[in-house]
Amino acid sequence: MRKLLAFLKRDFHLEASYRFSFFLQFFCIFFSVALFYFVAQLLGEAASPYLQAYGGDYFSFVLIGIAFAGYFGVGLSSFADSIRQAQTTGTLEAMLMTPTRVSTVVLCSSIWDYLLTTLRVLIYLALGAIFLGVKIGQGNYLAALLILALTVVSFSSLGIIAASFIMVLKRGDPVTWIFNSLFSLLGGVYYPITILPSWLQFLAHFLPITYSLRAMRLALLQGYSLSALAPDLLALVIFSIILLPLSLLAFRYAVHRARVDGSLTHY
Amino acid sequence: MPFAIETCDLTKQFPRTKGLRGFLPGSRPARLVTAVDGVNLRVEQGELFGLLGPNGAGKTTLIKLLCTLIVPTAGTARVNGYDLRQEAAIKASVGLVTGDERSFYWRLSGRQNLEFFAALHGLPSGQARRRVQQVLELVELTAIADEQFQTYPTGMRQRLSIARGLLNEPHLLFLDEPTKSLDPLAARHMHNLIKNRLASQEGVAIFLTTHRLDEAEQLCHRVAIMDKGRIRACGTISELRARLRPGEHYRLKVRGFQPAMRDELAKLVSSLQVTFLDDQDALLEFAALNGEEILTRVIDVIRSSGGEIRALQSEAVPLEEVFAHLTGEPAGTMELP
Repeated sequence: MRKLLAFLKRDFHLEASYRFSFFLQFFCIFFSVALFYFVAQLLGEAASPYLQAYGGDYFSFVLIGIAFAGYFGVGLSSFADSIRQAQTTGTLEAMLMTPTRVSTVVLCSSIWDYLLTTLRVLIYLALGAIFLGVKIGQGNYLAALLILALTVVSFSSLGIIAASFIMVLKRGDPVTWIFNSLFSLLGGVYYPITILPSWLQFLAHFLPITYSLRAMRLALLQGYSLSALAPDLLALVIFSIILLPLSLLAFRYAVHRARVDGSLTHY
Repeated sequence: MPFAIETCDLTKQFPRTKGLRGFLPGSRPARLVTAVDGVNLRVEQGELFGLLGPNGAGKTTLIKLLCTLIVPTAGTARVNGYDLRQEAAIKASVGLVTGDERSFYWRLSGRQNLEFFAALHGLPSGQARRRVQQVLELVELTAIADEQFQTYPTGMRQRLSIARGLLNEPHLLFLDEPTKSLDPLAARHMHNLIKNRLASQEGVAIFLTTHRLDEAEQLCHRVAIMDKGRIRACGTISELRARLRPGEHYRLKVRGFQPAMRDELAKLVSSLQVTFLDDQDALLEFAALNGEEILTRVIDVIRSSGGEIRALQSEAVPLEEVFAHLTGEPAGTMELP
């Protein structure tokens, strides 16, 4: 816990030293929300038949998609980014000279990104709910938190596998590239996957984002109970059970490999 | 009490892979590069030990092995009594100072940097703050501790690096080329800090790598000369000199040198060389193990034979010559003052 706080303090001070950039990222949220609000106005009722399960409103649908896509992005890239950054800035070796494990360094380095993403998600939801008529007042927040936790575990596992590639290859990890591309196309961030051809829908079922976003929308917009969300929750649990141990094994191998070939701090 | 460092045939070969197949588990490397080759060393607790060698000799690799940042291919080592597999125990008992100033967060202050690394050493916040203040005082950086690191001149960055290495109160401090890129004044300040504060006052064992001969001579109790991954020699500076050319080296300018003197002197010193400078003067050169005793007898012979000593010079073997002899490097490869 002490080490986690030290990382948060470090990242806060670093972030605060770039004040303009810090505030700019929140400012961008307003533009993003406005953009999709007007796209939703354009679509009007035309999108409703595809969105019946989620209440029929495209803006509510897409707002949750873009808000929570931040978690997917952070989960996928923050671990690899933190290693890459520490390697290139030269701080990794200094951190590894303390009795702190590499895995602790990597995990703690990504917590700040998760906190910032949470803040961004809250701003997205607040803007939508307060000013633009998104109805999340009747949402099942307990279920949403559970979905979020399982989503973080699944995506972090993929992120740790990506970090393992970075540890060995230094640049060009294929995991982030592949999943970022697949998530954008098949994940259902901007449109429901039911509009995809059936073979693409089939592929989408192999991605955790499909279950995360569907469950999150149903929990927040329709207030579904845990039992109603059970199939999606079960799918996320299975992803977590498979991916988490796999990612830890991959990371352990990558660290060992880097220590053998002396490239732990190379970049 | 265990040695600060004790290695036995420590070896590191880096696998060099070719293509993506090389990254698969169990794959064979295209070739192996030997960076550290069967190193046997012992460093006492509290000793100031120097590892001297040209660039690429394997000095930094040896330090990284001893700091458990990389794993050895063969051989064993104990650091402060801990086997290299006891990573956490070793890291808790050693500090590493490199010349790499990138290893700090440039937009954080010196104090914020140190507090972060103190937390990674597991120090509770109150204790961390006190220890940070102590080490800042030790390296005389309290005045600018709250300034951003990026505003520090190079010498101060290096001192902050030493402060970081001392956060966990190590028994052994590795200094990897601590005066690299420092100007002569900053280097002298660093030497004083190492010798007078760290070694004498704090009693920390220091393992210092350098390619500067004057630095090794000025600071270290003992030095090892490393080249192409191997330790070529180890001992005090005078022991290393003695290995190359035993004893002191003398030059005498003698007026009225008689050929008969040569036979008498040759009985005393086998390495005698005589060069006639002109009709009157000759230059005598010789090396002697028991320098002063032999010299007295040489002077007696010259005087009793009617010679007059016009000049007398004694000189130690230059360390550069010792280094060149042991490594096969041409003289001038290493930096001299």
